[in-house]
Amino acid sequence: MEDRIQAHLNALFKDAPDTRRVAEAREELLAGCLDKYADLTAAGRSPEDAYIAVISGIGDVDELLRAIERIDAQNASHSAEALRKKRAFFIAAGVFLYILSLGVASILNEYADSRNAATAFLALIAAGTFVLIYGVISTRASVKKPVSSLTGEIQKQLDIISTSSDTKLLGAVTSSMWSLLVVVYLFIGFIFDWWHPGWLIFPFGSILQILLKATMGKKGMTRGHAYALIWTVCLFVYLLISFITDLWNITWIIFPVALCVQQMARLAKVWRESDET
Amino acid sequence: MSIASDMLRGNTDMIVLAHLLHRESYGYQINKHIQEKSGGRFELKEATLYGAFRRLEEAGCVSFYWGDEQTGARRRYYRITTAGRETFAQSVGEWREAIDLIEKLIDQKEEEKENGR
Repeated sequence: MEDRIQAHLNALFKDAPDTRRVAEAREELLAGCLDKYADLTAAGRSPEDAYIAVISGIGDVDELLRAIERIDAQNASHSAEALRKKRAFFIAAGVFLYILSLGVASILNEYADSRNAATAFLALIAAGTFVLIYGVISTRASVKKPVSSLTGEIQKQLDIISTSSDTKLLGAVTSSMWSLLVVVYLFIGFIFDWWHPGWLIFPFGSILQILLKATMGKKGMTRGHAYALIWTVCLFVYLLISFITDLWNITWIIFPVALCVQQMARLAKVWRESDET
Repeated sequence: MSIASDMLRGNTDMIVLAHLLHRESYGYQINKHIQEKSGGRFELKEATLYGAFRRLEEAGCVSFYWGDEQTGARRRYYRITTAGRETFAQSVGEWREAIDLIEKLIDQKEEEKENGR
């Protein structure tokens, strides 16, 4: 008869979501039913009679499931709130370390030597970057974890959320990279007076950004990425070599060369594809 | 009787806390207790009772632990917390106030006195 009670509960929980709370409620309900059944039969009721009494005493399981659902939804929104707070804290801490690095570096540069200043500066920048990236990644992992194991449609939506959180991560990493580059630029400008050609750090930043997009993005390295990369690298190398050597009259040759490389790469690809077909 | 059973259902949380004030307990025991105290007239549906446990748990009024039953399913034992005692005292106060108010509102003696004047 215990099996019959269990089977009845299985049927009642057939459409219930598969969460920890639901599993616990089900076990509790089973324990209650078995207790009641044992009690009734011990009091002299027939098994069939006791079974009917037990089943009719269960009541509206949907009511219980709704109570659980409400609690789960509440907890989910609480944990999302906590996550936002945690993330904001890490971002604030990271930015604070960046600002601190400038202050410490300028003080050390004034009262100690510039090598110490550079070391302290880079160490604080590294710490700030670590805090920023750690903050973003750790809060992202908890966002992705589904509250319950879900099926079909909801799982699809979770996938969408997780890809959009990849995009968010990319955004967070690139924006922290740019702020880092600005800080480094200001630092080498003020301390070493390398305003020029220090600004080349920004074309360099574009190269890094394209690489980040190609490695972290969903589609990987596309043709657009590859072309952008070739031309940005060319521009960077052109400016860098020209500033250092001052051979402007010859360095421009890099652009026709790059064009040739690009066309040859395209041709090679076309040939390879036509060979395959 | 339908008023009584509605009220009973509406105040499940308070009734459960009252039972837990003096002992740790589990679902069936609490329900049986309610049945005995009401002279066999009332019994909560299991789903109603366990829904109340969830609410009380979430509000921090009770804590629970699993029993170590070897046969069948484990029981979930509940114990009242300090916050639960405070909530209970407050609910009982509100209950008495409400009953008092309803008593006044439905009292016929007062009405008769007023009409007689």
